[in-house]
Amino acid sequence: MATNDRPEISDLVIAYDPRTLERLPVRRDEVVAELERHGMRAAVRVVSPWPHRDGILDAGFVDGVLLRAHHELQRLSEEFRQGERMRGLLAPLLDVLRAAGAPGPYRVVDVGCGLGYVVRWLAAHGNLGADVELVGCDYNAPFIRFASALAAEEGLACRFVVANAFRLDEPATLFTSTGVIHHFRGEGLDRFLAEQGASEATAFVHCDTKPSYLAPLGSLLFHQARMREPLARHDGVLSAARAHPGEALLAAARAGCPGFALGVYDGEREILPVLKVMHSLVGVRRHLAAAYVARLGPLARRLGALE
Amino acid sequence: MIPLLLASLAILDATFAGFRAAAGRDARIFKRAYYRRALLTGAGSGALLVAVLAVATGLALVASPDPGALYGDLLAIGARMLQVFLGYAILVLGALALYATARMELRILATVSILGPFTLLRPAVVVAATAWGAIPSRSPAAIALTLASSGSVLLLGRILDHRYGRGALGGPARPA
Repeated sequence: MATNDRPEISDLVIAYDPRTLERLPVRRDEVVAELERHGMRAAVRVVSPWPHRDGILDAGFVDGVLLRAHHELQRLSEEFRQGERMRGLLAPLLDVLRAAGAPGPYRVVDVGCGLGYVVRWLAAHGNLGADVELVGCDYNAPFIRFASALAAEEGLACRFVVANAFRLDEPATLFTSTGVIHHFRGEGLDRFLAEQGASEATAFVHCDTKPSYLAPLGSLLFHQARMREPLARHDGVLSAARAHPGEALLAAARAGCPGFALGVYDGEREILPVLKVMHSLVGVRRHLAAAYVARLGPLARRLGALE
Repeated sequence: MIPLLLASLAILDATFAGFRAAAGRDARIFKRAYYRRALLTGAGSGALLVAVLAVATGLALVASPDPGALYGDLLAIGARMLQVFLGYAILVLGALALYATARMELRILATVSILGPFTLLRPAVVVAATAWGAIPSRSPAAIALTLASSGSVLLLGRILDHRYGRGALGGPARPA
């Protein structure tokens, strides 16, 4: 079975009703069976000792593991300057909207925000303007509670909601995500992008690990060095192997978002792929694409053709 | 000069161990004070360790029938260990300087190609330096002191990490 068909542990140990977003019980033996079906012995060793009640994984324990893993993930996001990278692509988009006279406020909705690091970083350092609302969405209620508490503690102008980002009462102007899009596979990726194509959003930026021949080795070394939680080490390494190539993202986005001009920022292949370890799928409504490229300035070279 | 350099490197290593122990445990955005405290905790622990090792070395010298020979042996071991440690330290400090000052892509180059992998290699570097330093020695006391010093430097990193993990060193609210 191909590595990129293998599930991450975090995709299996937590489940939600897609309609109500209510947390569903997860049977440990079913998780283990799924991991064994993929021949993932290391992952089986991670999950097998987890506590359960009548076969149902202890939700509190799972939350604790995921929270610790996301703390470690934030450390990586800090080191890889994810907030700064997102700001570099978002700020010109917002400038273009203002110049085009689009009515505000401009709502930036981060999909699958986790602990909301990028949203909180943008609120703290982004200087995106008073007409910008920053919203983080995730199905995971403990993440959202924690993100909200952190934002409140530091007085950051952003909010977090347990919600489907595509079903908000106040719809998004821009969708963003970081390290999320590789969780959507096959038809799931098509649906994820089609939701944005059908939405009122003006643009989206989805940043993720850039696949390369060095990414699996680099990811293995890096996660061993930086992560403590076995789940974080396992899923971090696997996520580099599961990252979508830029061409695959573009193909899925072209099918799902016909009204958008599309490009992959930092998408070009490099001989030594250690300078640009992330890439971003960027979609902009076609009538704004030329203005966005102009507003990006020197960064436009790294986006390549937006078409 | 050799004892001074070794002591300085041990304290520097402990300072970074303090940072590593704290990293990935605090999800706030503004945490300069949190990291400053972690660095100081590491440095203080390192200084304490150096003091304890200095006392142990002093006692060994006092107890030795030939203190001059033992001290000479320790200096020779230390000089060989520095050949490894200084190379490692220059590489890591250079990468840190690049990370602190360069543009984003070069910062990522520093972290991906040096800071991450060489953090992982640190225990192996300590073991290699210890072997390189101690194997030519014929003094059991000098070898024992070297092994105790290297072992305690590695152990200190584990202790700091463990204590941060248990919340024993304070910090913000964290998941259980």
